[in-house]
Amino acid sequence: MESPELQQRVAELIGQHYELLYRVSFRLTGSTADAEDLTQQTFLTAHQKLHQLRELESAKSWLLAILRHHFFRNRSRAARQSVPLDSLPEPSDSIDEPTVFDSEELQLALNELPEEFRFPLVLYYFHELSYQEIATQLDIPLGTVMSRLSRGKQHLRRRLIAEETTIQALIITPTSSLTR
Amino acid sequence: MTSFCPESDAVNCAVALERLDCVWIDPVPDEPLDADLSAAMEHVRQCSACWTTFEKRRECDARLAMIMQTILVPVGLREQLLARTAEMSVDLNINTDAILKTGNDLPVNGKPLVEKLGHREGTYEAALLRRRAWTITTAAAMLVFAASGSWLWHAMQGRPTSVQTLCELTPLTAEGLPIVQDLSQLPALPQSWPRIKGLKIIGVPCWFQPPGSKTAASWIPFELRQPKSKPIHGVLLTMLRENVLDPPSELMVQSALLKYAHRAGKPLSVAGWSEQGVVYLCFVNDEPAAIERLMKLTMPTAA
Repeated sequence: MESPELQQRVAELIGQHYELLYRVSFRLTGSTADAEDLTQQTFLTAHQKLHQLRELESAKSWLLAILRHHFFRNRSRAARQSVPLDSLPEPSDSIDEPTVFDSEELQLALNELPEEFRFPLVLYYFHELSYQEIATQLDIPLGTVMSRLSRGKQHLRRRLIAEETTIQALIITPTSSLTR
Repeated sequence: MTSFCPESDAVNCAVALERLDCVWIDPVPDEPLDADLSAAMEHVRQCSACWTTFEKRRECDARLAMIMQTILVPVGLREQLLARTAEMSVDLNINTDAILKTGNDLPVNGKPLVEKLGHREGTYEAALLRRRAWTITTAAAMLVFAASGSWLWHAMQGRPTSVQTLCELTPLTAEGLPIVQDLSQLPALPQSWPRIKGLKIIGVPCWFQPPGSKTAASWIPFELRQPKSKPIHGVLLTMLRENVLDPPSELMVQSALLKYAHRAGKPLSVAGWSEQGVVYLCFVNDEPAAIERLMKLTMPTAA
């Protein structure tokens, strides 16, 4: 592929997917700088490997696969601050109360999860991949994905229950600022 | 909890709920489920305790998804990415064939990709300095945006805007619109939206001020993706009812469609309604059928 054509295709990919990739990166890494780095690494690799992308329709999952690769590679270098797998709760049959929480609290709860749990959970909540697709991408059994999703979600529910947040205004009630 | 369950049911409560935790699912599924999920769904339907938990988890999930996706993308990131990849196009010839084939720490011509890029620019420290400069520039730009957004908000007292003006002038892209820095300033979303499966905010909320008006509205891009249906992309405009000259009535699917026209050669459908003192205008680049589908889901009794 000629360079101008290659750059044009990369530019299209960036235009279509950079926001999603940045947001996923942010939720995975928990910091703006790391999310920018991860997004950039993803597109630089995509640039190099563009010849492998056969269908434009599959570009999103292809980019997410590259992002996943870099995420796990980067994290393996860093000291892990997440909780051990064993300390995550088993799925509970207790009734979870609806709650409110904000973006930062959600991020703190996400940061506590091991990467293996965080990645499928973030993709699940972004509605980008089904659990079958997550299993394929991570190359792990369906049952493992289901278990990780369930335990990860249980962790979020327990951590975020009944906390006041600013996002409450976004979802539940009109804000006073509108009445100014 | 199991006392509520039919004795013949082979799936217990915990297993059923765990299985259903993995899928976005409606009370009445609109697509065939595999055998395990079907059994789990059947169990939950027959078990009142499970059903209550299932419903509350769905509500919690909808909120989590909404908050999870609400992240401001740094100003200038797109341009930065374009610049970096353009630089690569010129003369960088890194062999990354091994990447994606293994999960190991992959070298690129003997060095990690990031390190290699750092070398290309001189030193890694130089790259760091450049990034810091970019960060400072971005922060300054964000401050300018924050100031302009705040100014917009405080300057928007008075003069009501007509629905027709909003229909005709509301942009369908965020280009040039000030970003909402403080999400708590946004009005409430329609009550049913957090519970609609497949509906999410896909961009950054902005402020939109119609020309000639002193009234700003919040501008929120969204996307609806549901099985077997064409995705719907659009913009939700929200404004205090008192700031709209001719506010539409409460939501009725039949009367919600306000306008159908073409803009830039594409069909544009607009629906509008009032809800708890807020006017909502929904813009979709599609035929009216698409927006009617969304309005049916938006009806308070639908979600």
